[in-house]
Amino acid sequence: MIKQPLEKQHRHGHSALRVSRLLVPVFSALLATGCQSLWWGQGDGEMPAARPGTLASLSLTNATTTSDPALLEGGHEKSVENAVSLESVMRSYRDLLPLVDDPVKQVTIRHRLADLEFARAERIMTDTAEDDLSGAIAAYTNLLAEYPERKGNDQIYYQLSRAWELRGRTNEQLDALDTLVTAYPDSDYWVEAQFRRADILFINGQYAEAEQAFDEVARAGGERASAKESADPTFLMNAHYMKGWSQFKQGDYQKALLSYIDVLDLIMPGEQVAEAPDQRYQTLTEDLFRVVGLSLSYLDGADTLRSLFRQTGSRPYEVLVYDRYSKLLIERERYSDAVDVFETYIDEHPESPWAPRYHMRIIDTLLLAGFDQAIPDRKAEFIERYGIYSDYWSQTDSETLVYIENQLEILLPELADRHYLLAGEARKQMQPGVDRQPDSSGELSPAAEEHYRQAAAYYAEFAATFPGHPRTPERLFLLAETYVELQEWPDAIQAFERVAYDFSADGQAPERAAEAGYASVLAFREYARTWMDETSEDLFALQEMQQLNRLRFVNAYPQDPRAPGVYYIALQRQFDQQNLEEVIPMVARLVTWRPTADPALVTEAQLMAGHSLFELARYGEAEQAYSEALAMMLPEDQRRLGIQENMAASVFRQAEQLAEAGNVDAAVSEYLRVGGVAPASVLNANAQYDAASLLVSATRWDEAIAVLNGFRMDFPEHELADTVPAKLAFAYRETGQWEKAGDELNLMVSMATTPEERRENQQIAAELYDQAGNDDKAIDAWRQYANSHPEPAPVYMEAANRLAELYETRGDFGRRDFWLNRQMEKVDQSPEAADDRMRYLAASASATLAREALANYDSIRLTLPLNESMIAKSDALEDAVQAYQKTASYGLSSFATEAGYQIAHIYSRLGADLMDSERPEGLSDLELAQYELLLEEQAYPFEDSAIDIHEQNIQRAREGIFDEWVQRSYESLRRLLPGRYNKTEITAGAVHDLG
Amino acid sequence: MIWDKKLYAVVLGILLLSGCALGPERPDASDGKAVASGESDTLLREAFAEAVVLMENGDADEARRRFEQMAAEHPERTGPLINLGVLAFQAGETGRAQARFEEVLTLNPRHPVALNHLGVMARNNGNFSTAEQRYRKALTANPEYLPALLNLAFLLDIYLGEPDQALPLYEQYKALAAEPDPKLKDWIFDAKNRI
Repeated sequence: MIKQPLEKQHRHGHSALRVSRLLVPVFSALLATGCQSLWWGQGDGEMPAARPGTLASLSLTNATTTSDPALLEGGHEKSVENAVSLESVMRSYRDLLPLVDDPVKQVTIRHRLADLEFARAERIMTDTAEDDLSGAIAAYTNLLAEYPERKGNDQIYYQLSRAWELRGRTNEQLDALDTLVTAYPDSDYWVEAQFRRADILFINGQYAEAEQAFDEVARAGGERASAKESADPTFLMNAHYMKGWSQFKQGDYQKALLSYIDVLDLIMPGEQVAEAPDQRYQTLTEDLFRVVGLSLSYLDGADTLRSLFRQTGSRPYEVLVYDRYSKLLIERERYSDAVDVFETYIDEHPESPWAPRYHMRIIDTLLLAGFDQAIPDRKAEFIERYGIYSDYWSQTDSETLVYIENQLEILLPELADRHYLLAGEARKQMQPGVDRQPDSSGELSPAAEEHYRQAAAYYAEFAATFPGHPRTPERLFLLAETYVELQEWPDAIQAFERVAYDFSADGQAPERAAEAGYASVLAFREYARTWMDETSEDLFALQEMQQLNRLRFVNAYPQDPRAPGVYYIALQRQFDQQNLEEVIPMVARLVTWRPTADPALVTEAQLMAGHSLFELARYGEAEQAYSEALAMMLPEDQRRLGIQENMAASVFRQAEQLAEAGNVDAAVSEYLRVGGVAPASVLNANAQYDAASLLVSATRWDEAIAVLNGFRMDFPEHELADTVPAKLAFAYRETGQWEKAGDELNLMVSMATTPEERRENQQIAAELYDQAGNDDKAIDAWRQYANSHPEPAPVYMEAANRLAELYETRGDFGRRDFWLNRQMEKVDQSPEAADDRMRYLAASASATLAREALANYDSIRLTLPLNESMIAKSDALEDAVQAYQKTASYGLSSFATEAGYQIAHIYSRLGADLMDSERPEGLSDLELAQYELLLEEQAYPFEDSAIDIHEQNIQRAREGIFDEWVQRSYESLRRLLPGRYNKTEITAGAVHDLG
Repeated sequence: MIWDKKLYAVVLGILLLSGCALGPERPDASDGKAVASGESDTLLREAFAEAVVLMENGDADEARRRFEQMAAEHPERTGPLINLGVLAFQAGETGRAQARFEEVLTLNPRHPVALNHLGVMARNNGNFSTAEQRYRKALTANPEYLPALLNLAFLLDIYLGEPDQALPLYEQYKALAAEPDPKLKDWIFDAKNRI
């Protein structure tokens, strides 16, 4: 019921208090709220004594008396402030008083009236600022005087103190409060009274007393709070707070700090760290932080703070203390101190989520202070302490991690770029000093190198920390370039490759991906220059990696204008490694590259394809490749001839392959094509020659002859030219062109390397001319042969025989006889060495001559004078007989029987000729008869000899020889000696028996 | 013509056989056959004799034609073959003659006429030992076959130079021959002189 009026009252009281405390503007506001709450709480729950003073309590104690429905109603439904109403209540009480006999009830009513009077005066004070409190003060004072021992006097003292307070009479107020706290230690008003008392003491500058009083309030509040009826924490807070202030005022900052800690413990009892305290206590807390800051400033700042919390133990709000203190310091431009505060916190709580934040605050502070030089190291320190490689990174919470990442996202590139620039500067500074080395060939000063290493480390860490960051490729590119500066080629290559190839999976390759790919190729090239000392095994592995790097670039960025060039290098590598199977498709790819590759490269590639195909025995394709290369080569290119030679070789090999496969037609035409492809080629001659050989072995003589003649005409000096005549001779012989064959043999004679070869060739040539029917050439050849080669005898014999025959054909009997005699002489020189054929030829030659002698003999007619002609005849006879005897001497039966027959016949003819000889004229019949008798006598012995010789001849029949001459001897004998030899066998006529 | 003849013979044979089968009386088959072969043999002999006459009369071509026909129809007969050989020998066709004589020898290895002719032809070729064998074989078959006897004597006398061996043969010939060669006396004399 009286709650509202009381509240109102208190509010006014508070206003007064506030005014009075303008002295301490810093915390006046805080106090105001504190007071407000204080009063409020007191009126609400801490003053049960007020209840007996309410109408309700009155009605309880005075049940029979008239209740005050109007007042009740007014309390409920109308403003109690209604003066009329209050006055009417007071009037009612005053009217009631004389009627009450019970002294206790009287005092109660009087006490009630005093309270109402105080309420009324308070309202007037409020409304008009007129002091009308005298009545109330008097009423209270009287009650105390009249009933000094009365229970409830603590309340009167309390009201009295308020009244004096309204009047501004602090001393009287303090007296009242002193009495209350001293005399009524158990009063419900004690805590408030004591607090008010302390407050006044504080205002009065009696800080020690104030501290004492506040301390008692705090202790009482703490006890009470722990006992029951949950003491208003605000109240307790204010006690501690003011205790701190009291200590502060006394210069005991250390104690003050501890008191403040007590307050903070109350405000933020929880475990969780709050950025800001409870809204309710925000102002208080902020003031608190401020005074803590002041205290610390009077002490040793950060060090004090450190030792404070070491003393009290860590607090969840500790960070706020540090924070506010640091802010305070920054406000006061005490930047180094602020930095110390942050550092202290970090030192004390390295694991705290605040540690990285404070680290950044250090940097911010330094920046604010303009201490720029210190900043980079701090930033580096941040990265080291909280970056991805720190222990902190793995242990902190996700929120802090996000925070750190946000910082690193800026710091890492910043530091990396800075070191990169510094390195460049360091290098520039070094440059003038190294004028001796104009291009400085990669030599870095230690400073520059160190900066590059730092830059590399930061770029790398950025990439490691933010693998998916949109700018990571860019950082990696810079990383790679840094490694290039450091000549750390493998690292540079790796970084370039990451840019080029690791980010394209998302569909869109990074902006400079192709550039990076190419840069990796260039870096590899530089790297390769350092491989001089590698073992061959390692070198190969490195080169293979380089090859992969090239191929990776061209496969990822085939559209890049540099791709064909790189691909060409890769191609060259394969070629150098003799990976010929690889080379060919690679060349094909290069040739069809879009955008088109440099024609010079394409030409070189075609050449490699040509060489490879040739090595792989794919000669047709090789030829094609060479041909294309030639088409693209500059006319003045020195290699043209060589390539034409290769092309010719390709054609040549194709021909060889075809020849091996037995495809003569195609092989020959390929061989002959060599000249067309490369007329100047040294292979042309070989090709023609091989074509001819192939034609010869395929017995395609006419073509072989044509090609061989062409070869001889085109390459008269060729080393194989000397073998042409033999081949041609063979071909001519096979085609029956004997004379031409002979001509070739004649050529071979002059080229023969041994006498035997020369002799054989002469013989063959002669035989061929014979076969050709060219007698002139045959005679020349045979004569040449016979005159130069008496041995071997059998061949000589044949040669002489052939010469004799040829001369006979020609009718040159003199020469014929010459060669007939040479045959006989040959055998006669060493008969034992002669074989059957030689003997036959000698006998035959002899027989020919014998027949000549016989013919000569036959031609001589016996004419008168007989003795003269007879001499000639008998000389001829002797010649013929000797000749036949010579023939017979060779022991060949065929010629022996002829000789036998002819000799016999000669004798027999001589007899007959004698008988037929010319008769002398003028002889008488008798004389003639006598002459004939004489002739007969002369002729007879010749006939006898003839018979003897015939009979010798026919004896050969018994040896089985029954040739023409034996038979003719039989015929002669049948005539010469018919009684013995004319015996004809008998045969029967028709046979009549049917059988 | 040859075919005509053959056809005729076959048709005749068939008629004869069918005649037998159709005839009311059934004469003995073997009798009929004997009658038939007897008849054809007679016909053959007549034909052969005609041919021999033709041959002796100098109609060598016709004779040869007939003998050839007979030889084809009766290859088992030596008569036509031997005369064909003789005709060829007389015509100087020694190769054909020799073939005919060899044919005869396959039918009758001891045919003296064939052997004698073959002996003469061997001698003409200078193949004296073969000639001697032929003659001697002929004489073995028929020791009184005079041509072979005299021919053997000639062979031994002037070709093989063995007049001593020839001499008894001349004597034998002289004894056997009804009309010996008028020069036989000289031959014996000459042979004796050279022994």
